[in-house]
Amino acid sequence: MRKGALELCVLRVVKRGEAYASDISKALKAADLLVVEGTLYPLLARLKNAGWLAYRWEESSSGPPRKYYKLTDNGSQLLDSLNGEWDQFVNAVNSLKNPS
Amino acid sequence: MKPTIDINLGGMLFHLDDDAYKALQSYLKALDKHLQTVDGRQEILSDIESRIAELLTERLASTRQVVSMLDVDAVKETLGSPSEFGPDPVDEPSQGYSESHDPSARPRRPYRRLYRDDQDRVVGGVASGIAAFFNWDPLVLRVLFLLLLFTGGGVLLYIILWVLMPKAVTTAERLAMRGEPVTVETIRNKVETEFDKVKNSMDDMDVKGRFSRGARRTSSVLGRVLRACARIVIGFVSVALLVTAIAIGTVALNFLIGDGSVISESGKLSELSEVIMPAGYSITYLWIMTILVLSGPIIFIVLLNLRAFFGMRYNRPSSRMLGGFGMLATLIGLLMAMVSGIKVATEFNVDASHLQTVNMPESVKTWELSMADIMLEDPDFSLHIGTNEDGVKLHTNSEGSNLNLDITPGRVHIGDLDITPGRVRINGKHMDEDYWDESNWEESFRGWWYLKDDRAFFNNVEVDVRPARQGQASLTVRRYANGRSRRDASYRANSINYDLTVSDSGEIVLNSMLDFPTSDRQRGQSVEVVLYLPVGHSVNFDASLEDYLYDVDNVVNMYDDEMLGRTWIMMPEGLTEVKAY
Repeated sequence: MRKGALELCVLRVVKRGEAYASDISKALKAADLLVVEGTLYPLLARLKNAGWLAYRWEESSSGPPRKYYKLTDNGSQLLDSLNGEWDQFVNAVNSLKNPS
Repeated sequence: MKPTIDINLGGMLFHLDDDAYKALQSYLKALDKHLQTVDGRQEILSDIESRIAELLTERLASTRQVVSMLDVDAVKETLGSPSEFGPDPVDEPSQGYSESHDPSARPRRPYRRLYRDDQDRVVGGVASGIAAFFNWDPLVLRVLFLLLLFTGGGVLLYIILWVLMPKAVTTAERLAMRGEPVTVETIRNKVETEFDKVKNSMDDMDVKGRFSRGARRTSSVLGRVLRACARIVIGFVSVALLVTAIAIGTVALNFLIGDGSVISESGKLSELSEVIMPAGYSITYLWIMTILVLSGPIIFIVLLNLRAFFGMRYNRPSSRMLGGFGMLATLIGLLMAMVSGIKVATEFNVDASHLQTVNMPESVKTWELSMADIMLEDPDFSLHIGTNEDGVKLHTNSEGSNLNLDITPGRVHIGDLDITPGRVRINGKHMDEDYWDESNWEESFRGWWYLKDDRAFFNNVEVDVRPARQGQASLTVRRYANGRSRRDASYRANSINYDLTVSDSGEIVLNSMLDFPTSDRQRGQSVEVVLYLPVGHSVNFDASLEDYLYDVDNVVNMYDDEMLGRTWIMMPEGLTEVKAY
């Protein structure tokens, strides 16, 4: 579940605009969703290999060139459906918390 | 002053302290191992390396140049240790997101793959790999391959499998080879146990520090090929040695307990040794000597094979002691052999001979030279020839006789004689077109010596025909022997007994065996029979002289064996064949 949630989060972060790994990890860390940065890299590679993310290289003034990720069309579609599923899921879980 | 190490991370150059370098290196290695089963491992690693480069750059800013241990620790904290990455990347390596929606998705079963097991191998790890796949004992397959080896196809099959089967390198592959599920848990366990193994062997090697460096250097491709070749050669040699050892063991047992029939059909080997060993040296001496000499090689071979097939080590104290014992035994045995050998050799020091002339009928001009047909060791053996409607029948008083008879007017030749219960030797044989068949070749070596009633019988008889100096044919018998001194040799030569008969019609029948007292020992006793023929006399060599004619001069330089069955006449220029027209 956590894995699925993390993937959703990454997709959502990238949806906001092109981002490189460090940006994404900062955003996730800020939301307390990520403990260590290392987890992110295998995840990004997998999303990229599945065709949901694409990247371009950009030179950096303070280090090695960076990969900037963005959503592909497939990735956007997936995110939409995942968003829907997620809301359903959260509602379902929450509905158990406050019995009416 | 502290030396630094330069590294390239994500295309950037960093100077690292020694400890920082080691820490970073082991961190990257751990990552690599952790990501072993993940698709796109290289890419992930290079992404992470880039990120490390970035983090280090941030930390160094522009004030410092050298990366310290603190910096590496900080980087590790940010990125997390491989175990903190969680089960995420490894748990379901190839499972994409969409698959989790697939209703047909089944729980993953542990899968097996055929790999070569590089860590448990004799040659290439093929057998142990197959064994792991089927969950067998590798020994079974190794024996199977060995058996196939003798059919010839085994080598080819092995090489093909060697080439086809991938080597199990990574932990995941090693697990798949054994059919264990590839999960973080099993990988971690596996890595931990193997790490312990490596650590232990490294500890061992550190005792011999130089060795460890040498060993690491030879892990080049060439080194591995060479070692594989060496393993093959050692494998072959050890198999060959094992076979030899079994053979030697069989012979030795037969020699010590049995009748020595494995080596020679001509009576016991112990009898032969009795006739060769110097006087005063008992057969027990020879036995002890043989056992001692053989024990070293046999122990060595057994140890070698234990190592090759069961992975046992030489350097265990018990093997070492056993090896040392074997070597000592062999040395003592060789010493004993030398002592008795030198003694025997001195008794071959000098040779001597005695010449006898045999009376010959004066009127005869054509001679028939032949060997006495049948020599029987078994005094109770008898032959009866009778006839029935099938023709000639031969009966013996021994059971299981199987005789091939060829009757030519005036004589009986016995070809194959195989009588099992009693020990029967027959020396006469009939020569025909396919005489040089393998079976006949063996036949001709049968019964070249035996012992009977304290006398030794040997077939060291040579026959020659030479031109006579005077007008009269003559026959001489020269008896040779060796000895420590001339007197010793002469005494031995004189005690040789040799019989031949000359009939009034010119038939000279020689005995194929000479005999002497066993106590004389075999010291080169031999007999040379020479027929001196004046010009105009002729001689026919009977086929039974096979192996006894020795270098008879003739005008066409025909070989001795081809001279048999022909008639020859002595001409002024030498022996000439008389051709029947």
